[in-house]
Amino acid sequence: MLVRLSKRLDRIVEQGSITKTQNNIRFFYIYLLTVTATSFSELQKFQQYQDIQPLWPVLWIPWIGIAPSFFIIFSFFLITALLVALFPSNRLFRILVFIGIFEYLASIYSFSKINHSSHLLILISFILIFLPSGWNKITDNKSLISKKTLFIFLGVQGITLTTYTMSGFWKIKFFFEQFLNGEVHAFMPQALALLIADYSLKMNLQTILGGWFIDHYYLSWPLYIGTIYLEFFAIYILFKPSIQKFWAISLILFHIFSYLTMEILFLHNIIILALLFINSPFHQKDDKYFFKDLPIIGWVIKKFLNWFKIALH
Amino acid sequence: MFQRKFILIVIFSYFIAGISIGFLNVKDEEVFPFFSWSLFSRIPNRGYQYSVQITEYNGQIIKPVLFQKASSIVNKSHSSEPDRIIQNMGKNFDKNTQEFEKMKNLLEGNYLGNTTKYNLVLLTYDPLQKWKTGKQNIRILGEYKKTL
Repeated sequence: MLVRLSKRLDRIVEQGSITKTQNNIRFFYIYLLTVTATSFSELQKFQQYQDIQPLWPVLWIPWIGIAPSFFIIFSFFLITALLVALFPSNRLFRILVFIGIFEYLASIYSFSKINHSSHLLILISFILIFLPSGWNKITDNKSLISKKTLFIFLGVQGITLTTYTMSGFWKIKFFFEQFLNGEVHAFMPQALALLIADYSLKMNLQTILGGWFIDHYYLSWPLYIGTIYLEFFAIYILFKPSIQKFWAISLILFHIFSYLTMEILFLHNIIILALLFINSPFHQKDDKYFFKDLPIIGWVIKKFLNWFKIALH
Repeated sequence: MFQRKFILIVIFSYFIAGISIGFLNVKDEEVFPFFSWSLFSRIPNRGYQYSVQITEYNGQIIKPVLFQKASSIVNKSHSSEPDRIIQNMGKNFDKNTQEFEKMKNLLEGNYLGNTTKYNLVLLTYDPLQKWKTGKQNIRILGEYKKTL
């Protein structure tokens, strides 16, 4: 099976556009620079905190003190992000910016609450360290460096999709658990309404659409099932470039919906999805029959169309 | 080719690490930056929430108000950061004194105003019913005071 997967990945890489890949990587590092530049507005807030429960990468903070440590971490991240945005081909700068964002996120999550909307930035920065030398200069799609670069980009896509598949995995796992316990579970109409109500009550939220979807919970039912489908099968689209655009737009809409109902914003994920999949270097041309490649649904549609053709004849 | 093997190993390892963290009941399902990615997976049939009820502020006895609704006298009342601290206080109440004290210090140091008297409470409710009627049960677990 691994051999088949490898061969499939080889075929995808052979069709990839190196120019798009190079541009996407450069854009990612420029985006990282904007993240660090905007984060500086929060520096003062963190420096005012009096107590900290440091995560393992920033266990050194109590020795130096909260205020100076945060200044060092934020500055280091800003400088390394600037360097890598200017010189993304330099591996040392890519390593340094990975350390920069790793320390930055570890420090701001050292107050008991870890937020997950920025994890992808760390994972992607890590994978991009392994870009081959000269990745930014090649123009020939068939060269070895081009293939290596495209494989790394495929890895970036893969790790992003893996996080969604993991999220879908747990929703399915808890569906079975709650179903067997006779509880309201993920595939029942009121599931999403219960999630929105419980979260809104805990956070004391009044969102734009949350209340409406609680009152009209039958309309939220297909949306929640759709979300589980999109998440669980996300990794599948790594092997199906034809549906990457559709999938990314759907996931972006899911993130926007989460914000409008629960004020949960995964802004970095929205940008990353657009960059990696709407502008995917592996997506050659728009195919109006892309839905045939959808997991399960595509198979059902194909069977139905075959049956329909036979019935017509 | 190194890159091909590398990405397969990284993706597979991250998946296995995250799923294992979820099954092993690691604290908060996270060993930063490895995370189970279990987000809103369990449907809340019954709502359980620890909260902090402010009863006295700056030496003045006030009408008891929950942390989430006390934006004028606490820091970041709507944020998920203090909420996570309060939930951890509740989970460790009567179980892990050291962890409880850590969370209490974090809450008092970063989110509560000077000279605040408060209760740690457990709220239980049916989420949809509470949404419509506001009905919930409040049980006081402990009484604390933050002084300078």
